[in-house]
Amino acid sequence: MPTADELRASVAAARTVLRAAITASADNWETPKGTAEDGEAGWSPRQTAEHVIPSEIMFAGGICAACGYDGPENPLGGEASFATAADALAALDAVSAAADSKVNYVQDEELGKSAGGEGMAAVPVAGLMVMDVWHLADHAAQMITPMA
Amino acid sequence: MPTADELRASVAAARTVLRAAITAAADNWETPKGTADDGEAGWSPRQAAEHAVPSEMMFADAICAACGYDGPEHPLTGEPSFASAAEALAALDAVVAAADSKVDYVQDEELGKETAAFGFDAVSVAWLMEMDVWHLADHSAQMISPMA
Repeated sequence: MPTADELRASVAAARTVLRAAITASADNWETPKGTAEDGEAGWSPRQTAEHVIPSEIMFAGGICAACGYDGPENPLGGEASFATAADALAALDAVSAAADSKVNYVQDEELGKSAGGEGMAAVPVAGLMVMDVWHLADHAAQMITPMA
Repeated sequence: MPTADELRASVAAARTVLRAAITAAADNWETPKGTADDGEAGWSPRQAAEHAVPSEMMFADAICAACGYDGPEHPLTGEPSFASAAEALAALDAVVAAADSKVDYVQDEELGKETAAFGFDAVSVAWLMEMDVWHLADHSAQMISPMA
């Protein structure tokens, strides 16, 4: 199993990929990738950013719940609205700082902890961090796919 | 437009994400994510790695063609076959070293140079580097998707 430091490095790399995707999408920020029938795959880069960036706080909250920490403060507050790619990048910086202010304390021996319960609450810390990497990479790829 | 250094950093981050995905997928290396009807989305992590890792050389070849460089030597010969995640990680290290031995020389003023690649008559170096990021992120997400 990867160490906590290795998992944090993977999350950081996935955020870097998301930053690159947001930057590359700046000129077509509100252009949908498909129709409403395509679900998430049809979202514009703006819609994708407004989903994936706040989710960083959700993943951090899940990790904190599993570890028994207080959760991070949400620096965004309310409904996320990023009118430009620059707004999204600033928000990503803010949620990364808030999430890391807690997740940076996770130790290797805590990676197997879970909050208990069903669904996401049953997933151990290591699994939540891998899911965070997946979520960031998936939506970053969606933003810059040439397949739309 | 991002600089060449910024694009290289994005590619490096996307490779880090792929490494994390390969590592996370080690225990279900040959388990398909779906059926043959799902196409690439149904691939096992092994199949995804056997596609994504060698593709790094295709992107490097196209970038070199656009810039007028000799292409990199290909460290993988024949049909790629990675029986384990460890083999895929070793292959990724090899292709990254080979690709970077050329792409590290790309200058900002070369980012607009074009070549025919991937079925397009003319794509730029910057586009190729952004598509490399997309391709790595897309297949990384596919490997560790909890949606399968």
